Amino acid sequence: MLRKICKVNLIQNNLINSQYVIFRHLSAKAELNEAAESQEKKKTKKPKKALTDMRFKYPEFLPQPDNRLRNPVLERIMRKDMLDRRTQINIPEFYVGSILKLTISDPHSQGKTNSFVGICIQRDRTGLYSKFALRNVIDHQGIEVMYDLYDPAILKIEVLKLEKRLDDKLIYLKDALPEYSTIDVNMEPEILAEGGNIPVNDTVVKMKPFPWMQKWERQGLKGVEDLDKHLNLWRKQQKVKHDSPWDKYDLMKEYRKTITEEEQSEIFSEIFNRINKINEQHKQKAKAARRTISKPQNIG
Amino acid sequence: MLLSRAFKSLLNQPVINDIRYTQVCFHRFRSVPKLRIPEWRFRVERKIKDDNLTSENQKFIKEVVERDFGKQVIHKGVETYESKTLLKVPEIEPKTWKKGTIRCGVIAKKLGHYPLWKKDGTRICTTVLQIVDNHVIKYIPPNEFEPKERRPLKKYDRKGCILVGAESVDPNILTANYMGMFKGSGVMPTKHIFRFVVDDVAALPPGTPLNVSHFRVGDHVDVRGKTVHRGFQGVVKRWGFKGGPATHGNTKTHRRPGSLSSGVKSRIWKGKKMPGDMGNSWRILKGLKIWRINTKTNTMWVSGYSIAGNPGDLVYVYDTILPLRQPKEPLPLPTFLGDESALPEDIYEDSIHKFNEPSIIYEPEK
Repeated sequence: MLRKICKVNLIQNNLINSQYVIFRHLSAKAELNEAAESQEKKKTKKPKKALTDMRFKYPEFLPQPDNRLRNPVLERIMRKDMLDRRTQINIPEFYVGSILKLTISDPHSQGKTNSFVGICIQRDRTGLYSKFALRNVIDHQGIEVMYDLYDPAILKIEVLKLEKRLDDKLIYLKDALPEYSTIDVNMEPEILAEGGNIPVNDTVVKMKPFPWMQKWERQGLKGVEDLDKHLNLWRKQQKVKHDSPWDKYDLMKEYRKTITEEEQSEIFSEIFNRINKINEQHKQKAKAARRTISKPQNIG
Repeated sequence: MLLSRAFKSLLNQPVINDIRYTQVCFHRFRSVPKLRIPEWRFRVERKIKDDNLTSENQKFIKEVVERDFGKQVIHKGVETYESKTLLKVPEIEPKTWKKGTIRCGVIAKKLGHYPLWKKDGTRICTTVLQIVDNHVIKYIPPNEFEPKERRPLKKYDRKGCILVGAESVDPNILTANYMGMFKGSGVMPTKHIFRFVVDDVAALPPGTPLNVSHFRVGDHVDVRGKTVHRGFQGVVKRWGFKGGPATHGNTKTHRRPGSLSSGVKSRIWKGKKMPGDMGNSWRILKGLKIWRINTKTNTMWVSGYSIAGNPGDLVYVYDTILPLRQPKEPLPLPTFLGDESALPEDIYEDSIHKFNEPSIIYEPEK
């Protein structure tokens, strides 16, 4: 048991994207004797890596972890509806920190479309409720828009730059200098090679002087410069007082936030075949669209 | 290894259940609301003793249950027994519905919240109710139906009553008296039982299953449930009083009710809002629209988030009594009698955007 706990902490610290960890290395089953354990290893197969990696790619397919609010019948219907929606638009893989372009139809300008370019600051909630926020600075004015991921008014989601950041949420960009969240509206997409690792952008952000929206110094952020020069003596003392470095060793806290490995592999194996089919259909559509544009007619 | 062997030897020893201890009961500060069993129903679960049955005997009991009631299966998302030999559904004649006739209700389970989008792009909040394996157990005609609790009420004059059961259960847990209620019906004993007061026209013979096709998309519905029990609460939470200010020299009057009455009256009015036990009471939400129906899992999407109870609790669903939300077309009486397998899996209201439709585009007005 002790050995197992040590392993977990090591693996946790190495993970960069810890927001959707939702993956426990401890088994939910009761502890077995050594002899019985070796027998079970032969019987049960380990879940494939392709399945377990899907938790980063499609985090909204995992249900919310509170066991009192969960229901297997409702979750299955919800997953089916999400896949039905995915047949209509291509919802690509994206993370907090990557740059998106989103076009949406607007009831107040009928017959036209509305588009917005920005950094993804946060991704929240699960299922059909899942949503994300985009941020940009336009004419020296910071703008943030919250979108539902499965809103039927969305026409297209385009990833201009696929990358990760050092933190789970980039809400601190509100109080950072505006140069970190200004993005060119006419930006062209950067294409990554398929199958490679997703690059991590390790920029460290400089903050504006007070006042701030939140107490950033207490949140243990990695992508922010040393904040001590902004703080007075009182705030430094309060930071030490409210610090809780033992939280990462709390296994129960992690258990309540996450969903077990066995359950995850069940969920993803259910949707694995259909979601791959849908992705291939979208690829073929995109190819067909490119061909028609790339052949201009010669005149004379 | 040694330790594990030691534990194993401990586990294999027979467990001693004969230790008796005296329990001392103190006077309580506040009596917890008592669970009252209605007069027409017997106690459901029997007192289970540890009979120290051998594994062979337990197997034998399982065999007997399977012989009488069939094997355990999952039917429309609910665990039940396939009681094919028991159920003999008689033929029912369809009747014409008039305005004001009261049909049978349905026992459902509250599953959770669910967002749906309309075709004009607005999002609506709905809750999902699942109808859990309902069967009619008994019909009591109006001349025999004499409820002792509310006899003087006019409401029950010339009306019958239908007993409906939900979620069939292993009969080893139940009492003999409760099992007797199911005797002539041909229905397997159920965990939950409820009675619906009904017009004579809407009578149903025992054994008929009640499914989600009993209701239609676009109609309105009343939902009755028990609210969440919050225990003994103060006046701010229970009645929404404002409380006192936090600062400016205030001491000990932050969440207090203030004065209770005027000096002239010199007593407290009846029905004064005070601290006390909150929740755990019946509430009915009226006039909820049905937006979507799934016939495969017996679920229906009903507007609003504020249906009483936690997810997983039971609720009771009726047709509305609100006069302005009565259905325009006649309802199926006594239930839906057509072929249920011919219905589509998902039935939507006309204004709802289906998930497999292309995304919304607003066309300019001409």
